[in-house]
Amino acid sequence: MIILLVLGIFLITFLLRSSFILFLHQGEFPPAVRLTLGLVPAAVLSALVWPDVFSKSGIFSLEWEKVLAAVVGVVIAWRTRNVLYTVFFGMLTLWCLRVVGL
Amino acid sequence: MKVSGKVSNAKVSPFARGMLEFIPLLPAAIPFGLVVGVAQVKAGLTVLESVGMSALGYAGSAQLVASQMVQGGAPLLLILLAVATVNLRFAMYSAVLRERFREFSKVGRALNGFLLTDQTFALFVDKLEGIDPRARLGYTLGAGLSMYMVWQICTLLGALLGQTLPRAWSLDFAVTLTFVALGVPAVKDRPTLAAACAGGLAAVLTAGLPFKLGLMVGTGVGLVVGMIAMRVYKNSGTRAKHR
Repeated sequence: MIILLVLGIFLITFLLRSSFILFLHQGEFPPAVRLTLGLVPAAVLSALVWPDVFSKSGIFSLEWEKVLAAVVGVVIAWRTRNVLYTVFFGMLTLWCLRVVGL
Repeated sequence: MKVSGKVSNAKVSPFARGMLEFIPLLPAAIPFGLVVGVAQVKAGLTVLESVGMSALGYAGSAQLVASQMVQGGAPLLLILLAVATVNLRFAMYSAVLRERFREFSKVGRALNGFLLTDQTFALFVDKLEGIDPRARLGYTLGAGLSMYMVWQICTLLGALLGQTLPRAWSLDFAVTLTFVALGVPAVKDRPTLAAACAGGLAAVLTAGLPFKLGLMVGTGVGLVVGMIAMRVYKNSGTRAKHR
């Protein structure tokens, strides 16, 4: 079972990642597609982050320490463009708020 | 700036340069690898199976989702469906990068295809334009293989340490913060800001959907709203400040 799962994940992931790099690498995208592709990093990474921050249990049960820690992370990332500082100060905020008991 | 950079980098091979420039991204790989390693053994995988998953699957978010579903007793086909949804973003990354990788040999493109991750994608989008075309293949493989090695080591560590990593550390939130750090520089103007906000909001609202479809719905909404914003700001006059 697990070996089939591993092979399945390998195949699916490799085909998706190589799709345009390896297989469909010739030709040009139409201008509208190029413009849309420019938006991909912002759209995807944000769709990865927001659900982790605004908890799954609904708007009225937000974990505020996570929201504040994420805001700190955004500000640090914006000012420094540095992954280490972003993680460090974001986690520091989270832990401090938990200790204080917010 | 490009020229002055070349002098100091002249002694370093492109491969080594890729490895060096991956170092600032280490904090984006280490907690993620640990979290995934822990999740895989928690789902009931043996350490060996966990290693195989990381070595062949090599896709953090998908490994995480698959582990959760294995733990929940989901059938194989449904797990693979969820994996495909979560990893559809890689096809978009692939499309974004294809012109930059076009000159590589077939083997070079295949290796880059296998090694592509969120972290190296963010790095390449940011840095690859400024690098001599002849040095690019070595650079991408240096960065890609660094990420691969770090991933194997950290997921193995996570699998071995397992439950001894205290939950109170909230390592999973460190992973979220690394995506914040990778995503914030992607917001450069109003259309990308609109895409990020709309995409994030839509992903939150659809987070309950099965197979992690919320990620794709969020991305789609973000792209559409971003395109609309592009139209609006282009038509609304000359205030566009794109470089």
